[in-house]
Amino acid sequence: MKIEANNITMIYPSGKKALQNITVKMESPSLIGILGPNGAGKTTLMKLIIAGLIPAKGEILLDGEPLLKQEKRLKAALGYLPQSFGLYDELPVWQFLEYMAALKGISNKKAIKDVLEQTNLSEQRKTRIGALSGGQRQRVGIAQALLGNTQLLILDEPTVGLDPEERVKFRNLFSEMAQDKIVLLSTHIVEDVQSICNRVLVINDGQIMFDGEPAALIAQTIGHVGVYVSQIGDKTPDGCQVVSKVNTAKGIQCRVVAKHLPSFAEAVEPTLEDAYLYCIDKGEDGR
Amino acid sequence: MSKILKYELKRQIFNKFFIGLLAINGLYAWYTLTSDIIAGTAYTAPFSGWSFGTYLSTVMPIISLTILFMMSRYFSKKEKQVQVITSATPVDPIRFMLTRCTAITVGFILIITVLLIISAYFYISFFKYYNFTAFLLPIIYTLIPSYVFILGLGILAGRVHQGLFYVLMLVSLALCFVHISGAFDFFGRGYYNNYPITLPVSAGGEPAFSVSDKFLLARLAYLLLGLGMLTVSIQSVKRKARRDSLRI
Amino acid sequence: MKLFSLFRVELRRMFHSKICLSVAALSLFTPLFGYSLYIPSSNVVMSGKYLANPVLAGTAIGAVLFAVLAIIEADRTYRARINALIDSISSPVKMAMARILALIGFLTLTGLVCTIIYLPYTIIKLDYIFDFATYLASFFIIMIPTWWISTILAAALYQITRRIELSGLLYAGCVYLCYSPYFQKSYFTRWINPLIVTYSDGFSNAYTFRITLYTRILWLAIAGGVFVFSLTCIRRYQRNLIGSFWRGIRKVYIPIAAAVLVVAGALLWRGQPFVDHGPLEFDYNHMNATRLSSSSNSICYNVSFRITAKPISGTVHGIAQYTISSSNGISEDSFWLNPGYRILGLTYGSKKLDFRTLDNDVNGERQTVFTLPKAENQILTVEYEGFPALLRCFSPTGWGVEVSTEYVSLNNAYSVPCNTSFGLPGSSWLEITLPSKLTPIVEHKFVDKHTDNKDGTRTWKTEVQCSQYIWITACDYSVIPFTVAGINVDLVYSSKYDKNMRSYDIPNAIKSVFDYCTSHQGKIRFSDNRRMMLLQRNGSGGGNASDGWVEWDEPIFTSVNLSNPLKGANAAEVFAHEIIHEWWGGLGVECHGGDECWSSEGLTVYTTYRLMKEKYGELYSKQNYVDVWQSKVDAQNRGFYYRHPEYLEKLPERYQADLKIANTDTNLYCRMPLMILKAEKLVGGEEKMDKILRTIQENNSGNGYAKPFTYQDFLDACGLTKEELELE
Repeated sequence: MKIEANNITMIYPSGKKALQNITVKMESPSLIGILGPNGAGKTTLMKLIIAGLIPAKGEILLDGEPLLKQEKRLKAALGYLPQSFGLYDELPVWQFLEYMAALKGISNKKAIKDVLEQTNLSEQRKTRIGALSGGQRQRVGIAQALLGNTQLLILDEPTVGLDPEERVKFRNLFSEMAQDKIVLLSTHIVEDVQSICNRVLVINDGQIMFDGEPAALIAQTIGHVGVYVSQIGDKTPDGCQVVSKVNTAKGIQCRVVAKHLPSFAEAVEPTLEDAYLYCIDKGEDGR
Repeated sequence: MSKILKYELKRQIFNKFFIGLLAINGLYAWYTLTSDIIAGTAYTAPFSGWSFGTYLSTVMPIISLTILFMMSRYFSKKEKQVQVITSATPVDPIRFMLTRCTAITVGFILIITVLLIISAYFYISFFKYYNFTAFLLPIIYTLIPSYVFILGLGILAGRVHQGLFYVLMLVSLALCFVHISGAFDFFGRGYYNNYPITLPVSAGGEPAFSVSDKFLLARLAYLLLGLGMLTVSIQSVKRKARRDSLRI
Repeated sequence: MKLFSLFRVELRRMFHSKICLSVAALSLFTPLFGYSLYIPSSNVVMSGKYLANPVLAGTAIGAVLFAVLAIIEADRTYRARINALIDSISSPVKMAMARILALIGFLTLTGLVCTIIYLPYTIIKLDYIFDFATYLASFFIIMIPTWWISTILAAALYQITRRIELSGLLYAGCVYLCYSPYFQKSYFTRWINPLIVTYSDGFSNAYTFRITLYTRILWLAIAGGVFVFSLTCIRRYQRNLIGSFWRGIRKVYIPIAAAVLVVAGALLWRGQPFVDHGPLEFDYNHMNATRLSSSSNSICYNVSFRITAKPISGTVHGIAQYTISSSNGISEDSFWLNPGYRILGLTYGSKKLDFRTLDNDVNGERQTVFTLPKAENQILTVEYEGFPALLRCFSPTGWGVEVSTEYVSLNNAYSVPCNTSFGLPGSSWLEITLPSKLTPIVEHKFVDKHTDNKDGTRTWKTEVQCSQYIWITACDYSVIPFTVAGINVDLVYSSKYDKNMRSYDIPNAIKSVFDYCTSHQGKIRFSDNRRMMLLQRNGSGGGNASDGWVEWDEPIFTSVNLSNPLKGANAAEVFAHEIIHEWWGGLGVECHGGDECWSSEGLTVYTTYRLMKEKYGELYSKQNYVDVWQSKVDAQNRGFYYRHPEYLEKLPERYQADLKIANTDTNLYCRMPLMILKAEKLVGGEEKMDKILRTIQENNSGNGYAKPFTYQDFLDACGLTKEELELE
């Protein structure tokens, strides 16, 4: 499967420009992480890809054909977990998944059983959804997205509300799934992207700030991340963004990213989080 | 689709709200029969076609309220949140919509069945009356056009704005109190109450059940309007002009 | 946070909430509907048109608006999903209490504003009829408490269901019941639309306000009970209705308080003093009810009554004394008294008697049974007191019973014991104590003698030419005396009608009726030598007439009625109808005996029609009389139960009563006049009919009940047969 979004601009009826002239190409197999601050346009991009919105300008192609003409094909191959969604509280987990399977045209009960196992919900299969915890509801959401042989899996902040153990388990699951399909993963948890994604898209203010391998993002940040020790009351140097502050015996150890590190800061090896912050920071400076 | 229908029915019918509304419908029906219909409509017997038509047209506003209540669930805020997921599935939206209409129709048929049973009990216990085939025409004239119209209007209204359901519910409630007469009387109560008075009396001392052409045309018009609104809704689903709009 | 602080916070918020202010603003407009669209009370009286109906419209529509607001307000926290935040600050139960109190405070203030806004217009329109106390009572007894009830009930329903649409539906159901035939006829079932048949311009509205206040308290108790119960259903700890309920009832005082309120409401309902427990139909046979067998053993020589009207409490205290010789000492005696009255004591000579008050209410009477010991010329003293209870069968239309500072009206068993098992002398002495500004009329005669008491009351004493079924009314009356056809007539009415009586020249209108009847049907013949009293009374119906007197209900003389010449057949002509009764009342026409529709009503209605034909022409009389009779008779003939009376018995009692009453009315007021009209044609026209009627008058008047004038007598006088007069 191959998706190409060419020069996409999306303007909401309110006049808000959510995406501005962006171009992205995706091809299976790949696991793409989308990073960006709140309101950057991540969800809009995903909605465009699932044909939930029509772009104001530009076009999206699915295997070379316009997406809107192949909506049925797209949806037959789509697994989608939105950022915020509702479930039928009155139905038990199994029945809800059976309902979703019916909507997806899947009659195979094994498929439901499989996703229940994958999402660790087998024990709760007879529990009413209304009685589930927040994390369990999130897992039901993931389970329905995984139902069927999806070629395109779009997950908008899938690990929200999951405990660390579950989060690790799920990101591994997504990684496994990405062996033969496109998995698009939007998240705020940079660590998840770092762990599993072979490609990262950084979006800010409707524009793509970076598109490439995580290592490349990190590489362009080398020399822009440093640490120094400060005392209580000291001001953060101009142009620096503090990533972390750790209290030590010598004082407060500050980790900063900056276009030009202050002379007293010692440059250190950047992480993907540093790189992401630097990328966003740089973009904002550029404007 | 049968599995989807099964779950739609489960969600719409096997819940305490539907049972509660069914009970309210039943109580209202019994109350209508024992306080209103027992007198007979337009000087006819309580078991005349006219009286039975009046019974159906009197309970119809409450039935439509129930139907609108059921439909409103498909356009509720909660449903919108679920539709974020369901709209990403490959299910044919028109068939999906029609399946949901079927679920509502089954609910309607269930209510009607209960109300018919209640009326049968009333007629047998009060008047030892058993000739229920005489009620077939009032059933067809009264229930079907009104139902199809409400279904069409409800779906169309829901696609425009969920708040319109409350307006329609209020209109439905108001129709319990307001008496409209003439052939275009939507539920037909005013018509059944007034038209027979203008008819010649037959051998039995009262006019036979035979509605005017104008009334038939009005019923047909409501039926067609209902179907028209359903078609418009289907067309709007087809067009998918607004991707982020709701689907039934 | 304390409840009072929460209340203050909520109230302040409501004054800043757009939706609350919108509902308040809308509710200020609701009385406008009562001026034209929503007319539940008589619009013929001025205070009905400009006060009762606007207030009742405001009451019902405003109540619905505030109920919607209560539901929206209760749902607000869940809708905005701030319940978790609010619950962490205050208990949801306390919050619900604060919210309802704030709503009540808010709507009370709205009601107050409403009261002020409509005051100037009402004063202008009602002019000299305006009474500030009635105005205030209308808003503070009828409107605002009903808004409270509605709001509390709606909030309770939401708290139980926690769904807007479901609570709205249940609420709508509760409203619907009030407007449904089952509940519409009772004062006590109508929580949102208090039953107020009519206001009075010239007499008093005390009974109306008393009964409305009582029902408001009753429904406040019930709604309050449901609300307190609903506090146990407030969703907490993320539990559903049942789970929350089981937690909720652990605060035992809540369900106990709910039960106390609901039980209080139920007790108020059961113990209401306003309406008796009689049958739904007036029992005409009761008048001739079989007396107990012992009656012949006791002879009464002397009767005196002392009645005190207590306007503040609306009650009556009475002492009836009978000088009786009892020759038996074994068999039972009895008398009947209004069911609202309690017998305080029964003594015979110096001996206290045991007595039983039976549970047999009928026609506003209830029987008390006792045994008189054998003795000569001893005084039987009956002391009674209580609140006069309306007849159940007439209660929806009122009965004109009243004990207030403005008006006292006590007839039959409402004044003194009646239907006694022992024979009574032909006259009695009556002493009645009333507020000093009221002038009493006893048995349609003025009372001459009185003494002033120190407490601002006056005691009037008179000899009455009967010993039971005494009619007493008292008001600030005006009198216009005039002579017509050799009869001295006193036109007596509430002094508030002075202006109307003179500006519409009522005496002359009355004279024209007398002149017509005298010229066409001969001289009036009644037992009391050429004196007649025409009396206006408090009531909403038509009138009543008998030998030497006519009573008219108040609306007949209102400006609304008198200024509309076309209203004739409906209202203004009622006074002609009642006067005409004087010609036919003396015949002793069998009432409800023999032929089902034969009564003096038929002759009276026919004569009224003739009068109107002469006055307004053939077309008018045909449209307003003959066509109306015919359409009602046609409707009756077509009626299923008329054609198939065998089905009537299968109906519930209430419905049977309604149908029978409707049938009787059609027979008396429509079928019989049509038959007389047919007779008129068969005997050869109006002049010949007049001659026959004159002959009937001359030959039969004054016979009274001794030799009733029967249908057969009428047929004989016309030379017709029953079959000839049968309608097609």
